[in-house]
Amino acid sequence: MTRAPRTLTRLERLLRVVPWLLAHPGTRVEEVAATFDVDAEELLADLELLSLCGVPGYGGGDLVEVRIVDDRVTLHLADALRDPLRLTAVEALALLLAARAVSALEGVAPPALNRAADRLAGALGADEALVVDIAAPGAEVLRTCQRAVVDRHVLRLRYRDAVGNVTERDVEPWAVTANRGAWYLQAHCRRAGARRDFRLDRVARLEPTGELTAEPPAELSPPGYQPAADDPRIEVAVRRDAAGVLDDLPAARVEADLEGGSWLRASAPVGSLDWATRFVLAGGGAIQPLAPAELVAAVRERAAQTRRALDDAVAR
Amino acid sequence: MSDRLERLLNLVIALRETRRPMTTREIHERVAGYGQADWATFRRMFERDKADLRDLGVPITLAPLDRWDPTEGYRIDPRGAELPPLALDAAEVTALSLAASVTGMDALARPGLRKLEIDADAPGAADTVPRMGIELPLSAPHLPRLLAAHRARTPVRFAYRTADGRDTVRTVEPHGLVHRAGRWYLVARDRDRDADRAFRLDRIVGEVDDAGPPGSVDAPSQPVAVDDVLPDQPTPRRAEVRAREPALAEVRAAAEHEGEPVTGGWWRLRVTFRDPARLAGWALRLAPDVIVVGPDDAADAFRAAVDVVAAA
Repeated sequence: MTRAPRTLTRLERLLRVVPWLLAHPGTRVEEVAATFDVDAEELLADLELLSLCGVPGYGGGDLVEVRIVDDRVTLHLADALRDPLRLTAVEALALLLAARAVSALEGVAPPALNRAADRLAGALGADEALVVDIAAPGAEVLRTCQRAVVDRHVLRLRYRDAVGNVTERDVEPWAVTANRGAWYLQAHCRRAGARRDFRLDRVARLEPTGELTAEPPAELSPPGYQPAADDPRIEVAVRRDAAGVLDDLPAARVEADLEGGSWLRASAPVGSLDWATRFVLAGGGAIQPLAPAELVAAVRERAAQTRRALDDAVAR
Repeated sequence: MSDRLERLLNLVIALRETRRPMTTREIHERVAGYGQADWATFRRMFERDKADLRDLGVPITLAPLDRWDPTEGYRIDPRGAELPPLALDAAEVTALSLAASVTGMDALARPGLRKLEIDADAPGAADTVPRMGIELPLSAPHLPRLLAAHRARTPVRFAYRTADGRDTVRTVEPHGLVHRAGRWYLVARDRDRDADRAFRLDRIVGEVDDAGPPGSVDAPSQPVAVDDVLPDQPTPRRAEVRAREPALAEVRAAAEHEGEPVTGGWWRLRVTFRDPARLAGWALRLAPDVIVVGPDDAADAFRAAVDVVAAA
């Protein structure tokens, strides 16, 4: 994001300081500076500049008067700058979006947030054409995780992974994070001895153990696969009309068109060949494995077993 | 640099204090900081100053000089502000700041929060925010631009990359913005295709340009029916599946019931689905421990998918 030029930053600050000073005449310079989180010298420089401004004519009686007596500031002839800046519609919309999204997190959103959102919506004129659907997790789970993150409590959880294995583990919670519509508890898993991102909708049971833990790391990458140097690489052919599946393959590179453009060839690192096998199978024919050979074999084998299971079921 | 600051302050003061709107000629002649420039330079300076002030929320309005003179001039009229005053209290400002922080919208929301602090006579209220430990990323490239275009009813144009990597230029009339499954979509009428579409904001390539004046987009005839244009949402139905270990726990979670044992370690369960192809994909991910046996269209789609994958 580009930084606002200095001039506009100073102007914006002055346009907030002046209405406040007019409402709080005689405040000490240091206090004004602290209130607006600015150096006293900078504030004084801005006020000095302000005293050179005024209505056309620019003679005595036209200019803003900045009086500093005993370190206390009072403004005169500054009525033109008395109106506080109003929210623009885009600023209000951005705040409303944030407010509506976080209000949906039951059990953790402050009550004042709903009030603020309603006031914003009222001022904007109800806008049903803005929809924020965050698939909030259950209040209990969310509250427990959020509390544990903030208070640094170790949690014991019973968790079912993506292929159905259920395990119990103690974890050190780091953050509750939403990504691509799913919610995760990002934590240090003591069982794995490493970071794990647990989907909240797979948490079967969750409770604090009573133990406290260390501060979480300052920066956390979003939930999801982060390619590592020695991860296996796969090559797949993807049918063009299903190319959206490549979104699920982070760091995928599309390398060529195949079959006159109706298929794409892509390569990507993956966390494991087992994951890759499931990824290809889930494509239901729209993804074909090209390499490595083990992937091709694994896909074929599981599909063959599935076909036998289907035939058995029909036969019964 | 402080020259420009003085000039901007003088402009704000002049336009607020003037009894009659000021023409550009008057501004050039009378407002300190503009007089030295020749007319062309002045025009450029003034246009930029006006735009920057409006972006900050200063309500500069254009109006006829008086009842008898249609010539237009500028003034600052608080009644011309985009929104009425809000008068939130300090707790509400803090709550908004919290929401902005959780959603990663801080940068976009900061100027607005600072203004609300002054209204609430609570400078610093936006800084006293407790740590939530929750991240719900909501900001997206092009979002402020599209919010503005939607609000102003301005058509826009942009290059758009479809899933298979091809870029096409689209001219659209914004009807709404939707956030679902972690993604932002612009719901809009595509002028060239004369149909409503949903565009993912993360597939917009390059800049979003205006494709017409503000106010030139008609409101849609029905309220934005997001589900009509977003993927998904045929009526849900129940499919009959068979599942065995180790996929049982996963299928039971999807089915929300335990199921009945059949034979050989297999269990029978019913899961809700909308699209047979997606159901087949879901089941195949757990292969060979889940099979779909009914209804007919779901079972057929599953068998067809299995055959394709087995033969490849």
